[in-house]
Amino acid sequence: MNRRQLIAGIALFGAALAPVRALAAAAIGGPFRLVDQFGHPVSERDLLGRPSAIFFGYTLCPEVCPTTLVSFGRWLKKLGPAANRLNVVFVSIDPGRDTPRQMRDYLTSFDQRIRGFTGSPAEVDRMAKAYRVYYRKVPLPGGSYAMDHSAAVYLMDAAGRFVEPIGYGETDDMPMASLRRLMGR
Amino acid sequence: MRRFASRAAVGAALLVASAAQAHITLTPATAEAGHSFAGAFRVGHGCAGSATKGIRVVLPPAVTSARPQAKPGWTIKVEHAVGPEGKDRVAAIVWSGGLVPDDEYDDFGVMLGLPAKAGPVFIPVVQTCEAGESRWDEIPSPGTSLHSLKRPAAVVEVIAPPPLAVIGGIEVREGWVRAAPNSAPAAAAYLVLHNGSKQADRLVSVSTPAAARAELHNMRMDGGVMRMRALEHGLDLPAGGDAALAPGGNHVMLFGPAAPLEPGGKVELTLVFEHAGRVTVTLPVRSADDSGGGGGEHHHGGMR
Ligand SMILES: [Cu+2]
Repeated sequence: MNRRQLIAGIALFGAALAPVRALAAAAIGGPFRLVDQFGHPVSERDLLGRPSAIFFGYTLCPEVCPTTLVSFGRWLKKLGPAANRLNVVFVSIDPGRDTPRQMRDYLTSFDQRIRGFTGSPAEVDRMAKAYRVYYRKVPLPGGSYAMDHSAAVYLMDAAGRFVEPIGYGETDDMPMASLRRLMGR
Repeated sequence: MRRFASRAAVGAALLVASAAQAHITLTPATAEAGHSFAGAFRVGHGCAGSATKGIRVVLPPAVTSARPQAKPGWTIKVEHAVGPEGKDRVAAIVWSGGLVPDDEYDDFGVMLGLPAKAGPVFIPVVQTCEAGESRWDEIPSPGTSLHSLKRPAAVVEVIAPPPLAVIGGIEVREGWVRAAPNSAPAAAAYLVLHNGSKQADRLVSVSTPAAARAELHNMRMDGGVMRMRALEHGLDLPAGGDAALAPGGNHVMLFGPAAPLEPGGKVELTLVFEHAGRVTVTLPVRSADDSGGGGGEHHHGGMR
């Protein structure tokens, strides 16, 4: 997927609100009040001062979310020591099932530098809207439900400004180039 | 869609083996798709009578991983390159510092990750001798016999494993379960179905003792949005055709795994077809790809 399609994808949710060009420049990101996987309160201020990579998903997601989390383990390793200056955050858009405890247990399977944020549905919704993340609950026949959700990773600079996305399924060289650019800023 | 090895392909593999016997060969000459290959490059003679003092094996990108076996008296160098998906791959292995007299043979052991697809994998070898070198790097063009080549590359024939099950002409192949992260409320299982019968069929439902519930699902990326839906009418299986449940698309969704799904584990899955009836297969649990977007140690095609 190219950058334009990706930004268009991100804009799905906010397309009616603002032109795509403006989205790329300024409108992604904003305040939130959530809790991390240890139950500690977190806000946008906790991410400032370092660049961040933020993505949204849910723990019932069978492929895209674990793949992104596994990829992040690999990318952090490739980044070397610089990776310790990067915030990596997995935000649940399924807070009904993804309690802090669930996020904590789930994230033990991945790089321990990855943080998990969840919270009240209203606060998750506020953060998703701020990041122009599309998500929607879809019932499944057996009584469970899936979550449609934007699968991109959002790269933010140390001042909390959106820089660029990493699309799902990119080969490693593109995300690594983006992450190295981000860390060099 | 994948084609499976026919008897003709197996015959071709045998031909390949005998043709290459006089040169540098891979032994064994065949490998089962989806399993890692442990074998050796066999050096049967020197270069026109001169003793062999080294070989250099050049691995094509189709070889997903490679590890040489330690060899006393020899120095081994592994050369890396950037492979598909931008990840590191082994591009060549060089053995040097030893000596194989012209009238003796020796084996140079390797473990290779081979493609999941059936077919030959050609591996060029440069043999360095006390006097001169021999380049075993000719690869037959399609339709050409290996016999016609003077300096054939080493070759291993990847053979599709036997189906996991056959019922009413439907073959079940390439089944595996993606290892689930800790406390993951669900996991995905994959398999490929080939309907060898003249009647169209349909995979209607799936059940397993390994999870609270199994459903047939599809997932797709739609403008950057991941969407997962139930295949409410099952999965169509045209007469003579294939249907795949594979990463990036259709899957069996296992809700509420009864025990952690860890690599090395096994999952029994019962498939119910509209016409062919039901059949139970046992699938291995494999780690989700952790090597860079493709392959992983089991060559299941990775996650894209
Ligand atoms: Cu599913």
